[in-house]
Amino acid sequence: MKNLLTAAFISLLFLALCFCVNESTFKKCHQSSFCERNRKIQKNGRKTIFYIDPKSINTNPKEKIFSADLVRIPKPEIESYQQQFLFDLTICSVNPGVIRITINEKEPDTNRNMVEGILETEQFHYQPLKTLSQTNEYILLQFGEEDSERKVVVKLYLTLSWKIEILDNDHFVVTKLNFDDLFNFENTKKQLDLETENNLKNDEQPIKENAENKQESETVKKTETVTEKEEEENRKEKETEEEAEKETEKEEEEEEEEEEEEEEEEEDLLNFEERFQGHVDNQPYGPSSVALDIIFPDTEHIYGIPEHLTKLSLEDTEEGEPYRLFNVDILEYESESRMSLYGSIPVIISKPNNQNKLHGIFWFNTAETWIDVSSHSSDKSEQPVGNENTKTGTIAKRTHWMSETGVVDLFVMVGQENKPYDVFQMYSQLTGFPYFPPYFSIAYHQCRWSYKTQKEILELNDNFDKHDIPVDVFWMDIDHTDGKKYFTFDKKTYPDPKKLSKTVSAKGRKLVAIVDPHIKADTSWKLYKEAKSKNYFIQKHNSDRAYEGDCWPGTSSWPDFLNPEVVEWWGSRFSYDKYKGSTNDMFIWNDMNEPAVFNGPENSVPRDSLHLNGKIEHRNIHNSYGYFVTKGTFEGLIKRNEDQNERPFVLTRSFFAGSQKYSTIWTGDNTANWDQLKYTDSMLLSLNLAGAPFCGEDAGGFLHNPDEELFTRWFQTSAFHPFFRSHSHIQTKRREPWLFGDPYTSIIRKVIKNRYSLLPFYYTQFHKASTQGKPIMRPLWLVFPNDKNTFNEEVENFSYMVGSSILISPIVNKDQQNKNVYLPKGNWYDFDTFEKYQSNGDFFTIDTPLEKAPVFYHGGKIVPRKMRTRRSSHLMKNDPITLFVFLDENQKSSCHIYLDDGHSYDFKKLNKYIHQKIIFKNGNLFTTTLHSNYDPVLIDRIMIFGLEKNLNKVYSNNNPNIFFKYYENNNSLSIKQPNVFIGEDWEVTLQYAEEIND
Amino acid sequence: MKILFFFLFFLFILERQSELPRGVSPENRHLYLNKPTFTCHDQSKTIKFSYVNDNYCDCEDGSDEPGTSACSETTFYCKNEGFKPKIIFSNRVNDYECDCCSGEDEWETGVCENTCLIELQKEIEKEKELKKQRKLAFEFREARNPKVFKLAQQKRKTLTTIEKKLQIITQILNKCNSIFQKIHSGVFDQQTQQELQQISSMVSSSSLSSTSFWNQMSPKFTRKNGFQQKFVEEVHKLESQYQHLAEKYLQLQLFKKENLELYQNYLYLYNQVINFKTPDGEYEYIFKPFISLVQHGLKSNNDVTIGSWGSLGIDNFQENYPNGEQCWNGPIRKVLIHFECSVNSEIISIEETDRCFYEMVFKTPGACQDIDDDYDDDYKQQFLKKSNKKEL
Repeated sequence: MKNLLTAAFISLLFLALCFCVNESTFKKCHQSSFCERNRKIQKNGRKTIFYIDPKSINTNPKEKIFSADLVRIPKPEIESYQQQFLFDLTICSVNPGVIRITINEKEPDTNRNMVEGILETEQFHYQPLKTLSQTNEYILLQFGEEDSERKVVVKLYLTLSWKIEILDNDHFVVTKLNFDDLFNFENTKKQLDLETENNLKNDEQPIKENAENKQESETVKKTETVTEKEEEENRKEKETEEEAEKETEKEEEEEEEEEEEEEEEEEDLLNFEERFQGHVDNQPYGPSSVALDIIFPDTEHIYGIPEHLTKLSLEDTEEGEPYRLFNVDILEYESESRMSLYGSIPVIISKPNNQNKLHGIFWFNTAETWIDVSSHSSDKSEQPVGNENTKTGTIAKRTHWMSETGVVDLFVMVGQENKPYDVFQMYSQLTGFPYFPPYFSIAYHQCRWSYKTQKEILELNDNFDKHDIPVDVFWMDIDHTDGKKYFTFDKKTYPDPKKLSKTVSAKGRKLVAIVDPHIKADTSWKLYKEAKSKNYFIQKHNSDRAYEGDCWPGTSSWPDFLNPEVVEWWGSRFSYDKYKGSTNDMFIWNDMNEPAVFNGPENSVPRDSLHLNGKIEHRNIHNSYGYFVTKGTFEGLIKRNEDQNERPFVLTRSFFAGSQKYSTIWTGDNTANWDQLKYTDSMLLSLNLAGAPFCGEDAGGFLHNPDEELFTRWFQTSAFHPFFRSHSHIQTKRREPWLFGDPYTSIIRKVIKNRYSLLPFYYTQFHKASTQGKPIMRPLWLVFPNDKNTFNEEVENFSYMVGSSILISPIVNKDQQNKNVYLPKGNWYDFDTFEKYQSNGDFFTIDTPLEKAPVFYHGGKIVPRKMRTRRSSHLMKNDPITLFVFLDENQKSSCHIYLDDGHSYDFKKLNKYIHQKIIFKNGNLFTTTLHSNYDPVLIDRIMIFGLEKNLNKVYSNNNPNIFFKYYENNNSLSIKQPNVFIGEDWEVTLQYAEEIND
Repeated sequence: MKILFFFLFFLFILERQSELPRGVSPENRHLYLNKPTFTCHDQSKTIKFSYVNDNYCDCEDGSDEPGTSACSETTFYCKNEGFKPKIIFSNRVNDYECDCCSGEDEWETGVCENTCLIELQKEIEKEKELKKQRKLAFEFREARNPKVFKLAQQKRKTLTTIEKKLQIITQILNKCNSIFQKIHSGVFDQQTQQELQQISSMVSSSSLSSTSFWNQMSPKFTRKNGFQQKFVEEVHKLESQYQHLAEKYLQLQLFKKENLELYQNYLYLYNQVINFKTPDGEYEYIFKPFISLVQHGLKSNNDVTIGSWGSLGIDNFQENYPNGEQCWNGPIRKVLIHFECSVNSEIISIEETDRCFYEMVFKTPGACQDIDDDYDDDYKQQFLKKSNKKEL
């Protein structure tokens, strides 16, 4: 018996050791009826036709918007009589190079419009519209000023089944829409209406075209019945097919299968509800999905649609699940999976073959979305027409977008030749440029769930100093609150947060407190009572009562962040008088904002819950909830100071397009194993490409205990990520950097110090991101678009650049003693030894003992660093800068440098900043000052690497004889105390030995 | 005379130190003699002596910048006149933070005041306090030790009796086991009867608490119906008696001779119970030194033993209490106790620092150093007088 017990126990243990996500918590495509329905169209084709009614076309150039009616009719062979249903189609160009295409129901039964407050509509500059030509077959529309190089041509096919081609200024086709005829728009229908209609059906009369409104709405009703029929047919097919499928799959997951079967049978009977995992989702307007195929002709590589922990380049999904975008709280997520995680950005960046261009699309839809990807030669469906630059047989990427509801609102961003960064600028203009973070927030962060008492934080504060490891921020996870009531502190464990903040800020350090959006349903709590009495919570389906679910504090409700009044109210909670204990050195972390609900369907709020007092269902807006939480927080942090002049820092787990305006993103609850480390860089690169550059992951892995090697390797790459924070789960061993002992602690110390020394360089990168939308972390192909090797899978996923100056090729495998690192053509310099590598686009084998991760400076770039790495970034504020000048093959180099006070909006309001270009050319190092209105910073040393000639003399405008030393062994030059300043104009001249001889 | 000598010596040092570049310790004086040139300590380079402390790092080992923050991975020596010298990381020089009480680390920024005198006074106060504490702790222990030693004598007796009893029970149980095997397989011969009678005499000669069962091992009795069942019952009784005694025996381990020596400073903790409520109000911990540490859930009202005394000895003021209850789906709970000196016994903190691994900080007089540790505060007194004079 005892043995039996032990055996049982061991098996329990074994189960506990099999750490993997509980996949059945989350829907697969076949469990999501709209995904299933639309995928079926892929296979079987459709039964209806959508065409453009030529009579409805309106191309009034004054309005700059093309509009037309889209008509849906059943295919003639299916129905003998004409039934139609009308949609609005509009095409316009909201900014140079950016086309917007919208399709919506003419008269929807419910609000399925896109949510407001995400797009930067105030920044839109509508471009002139001109009709180039019109035939029976197609209409050619040109958007953009006549003399502009960013003109875009939209070719709209008037054939049966509408199609659109978008052509760039060089007449290349950028994208093709609906060429695979996968467009689908399920119109909304009320359950009640449907029943009455069924009875009245026979009495209805056929309706004339150009009918009046009243009649139109009747048409609507009539077509609905047709749709219903269609669906029935669909369902029948589905049933038979499913049965077949099931038989083949029977061996696996038999028990689960049974459950599913039951569920699906029920689902099929009930048109207006869907079940999953015992949760019933009421769909009072019936199925209302939208779908469209978007083809990228002559394109092998497309990127984006974060957040997934997988390869950077999007892979074909025919063999499995589509990429899913549905923000969920997922525990122990897996590597190389297309399952959805905490955030969604429905953006794809495409790189056409043989062109140095990047284009982008933005599928503006906040509902659950699935994306199928496939690569087929482009001759599958389209007929050659007009400007056909794609040869038949070349690879095209085809994507099939399927959203649960909402409308089609598609932005196509058309890039120009040799301007690959344009697409990021265009996208940022649509959804906002990344926020410019305060200086401290790009330094090192120390977090744990949880530092349970303020004493523990004070100990950290001392221990980092004791071990000579710089740190800027300490984090307070959920336990610092009074019973998980956010905006409060636990009186026992954090008795004096103000004093705590004062103590750590003495060395310029900051605190971050967690504030989650679930509000404890505690009637004795003022905040809850206020929100409840004002009807600020998300409401339950079919009621005006607040939805309640389970989260950290127990029963909770969730503020309706779709309501601007609630966003405002939330922001006001951050004022110092309301948030007792908070200080201006305390910043905010929004976690669980998917929103996460422990007992909700797919760990979230039910889709049939209601926002805006019942106006809109949660399913419509789900993916944007986290975005609006951070909006409230960000705006609140600005308003908490009277002068509204301090820059906030907000970290978020959930996000949508536009989140970059308000928040830094981290990749949630990752796991301490090599598999996770492997694709972390790709995950962050994908976010960077989708306009959200300020991102990072839990260095070391949140769940489970990393061993010393994994932890060290992790830090070697994490220290170069835009957001650099260590975090760990409550059930793991403490892992502050000094706990590992040497050699690990020394390596980690060095890595963190390297980050601190590079802060002036990073800050400039963040400035570029906030003004031009440029990614901070870049795939190599973005910097070297003409180098085909950079698209190599190994290179693309396991090397990246910061800006275009530093190449990191991290070690992501255990016991890896060397690595083949690809260096694009040019000069490269080892980060630690400055050894020069001259590459013709070769792989170099780099020895990688534990203390070494391959990192290289890019020849042709100057990197400003602060070499006196102190306890915090604040204490380095007044330190001199060392310029590291790395020469390219032409003995040239340059950089931009931006600096300001690092915390306020003075740079914006009072123009208090320095922006300079530093250039090395013809043996001269000199500046071009773009703006200088801040305290100059001393340059105490200039190092020049790759200098081919020995020198005779170094001098500047104010110093005729500067001490220097030339090192023949590695062709480097060290210039000592040239007495020049960032922010002033100067020139340092090298006089070569030969020149004297001449 | 002694004072005068000291004073002269002091002046001498001051004199010599004034020649030293900033941030150099007296021990390294010989490395920074003012010559026309300076050679980096790693011999990599020779530079002009004027380049020493010119706020520019010339040597790779940083040896040319002992007094600035120009080089990384080096240290700065604060003289802290009037108080103890201190060595700090060079990256703390001129960072607008006061790290030396003399303020000499902020020689360029000038943001610090000299607080060495205050520091010294604080230190003296602290030492005084510590000394007082040690004395009190010593007295406390001395006052209680005789009682414990007396108790120990009794307990040792108990310990030996229990030890004997345990031995006998073990023997009996072994015998019973073999008898049971036989009976079970249907063999009940002469030998079995003899063995049963042997057990009977063993039981009666020992002072075991036992039932009359064992006294009536006549063949008539043993062949009765139901004997077998009775026998098993009685063996179980013996077993539980064994358990009980073994537990008691474990708890009395402290009174083994070697343990008494090992724990001589902590004996007063015997029979004490020290409670601790966590700040978050989740748990109360009940610490019984030399027995166990129990976690009591204040909300769940559930008790979990997270560590039992393992008599492993105090090592470096740390002691393990291994063998707590097993975690659900996890390892066996363990506690590591860190001892710190105090006049009173109290738990300062208990934290689960790893899964099912707890660390406890426990203050108690036993952890105080003995008072006869030599401790010379004369020299501090001297400095204090000197500094006072200077100020006057």
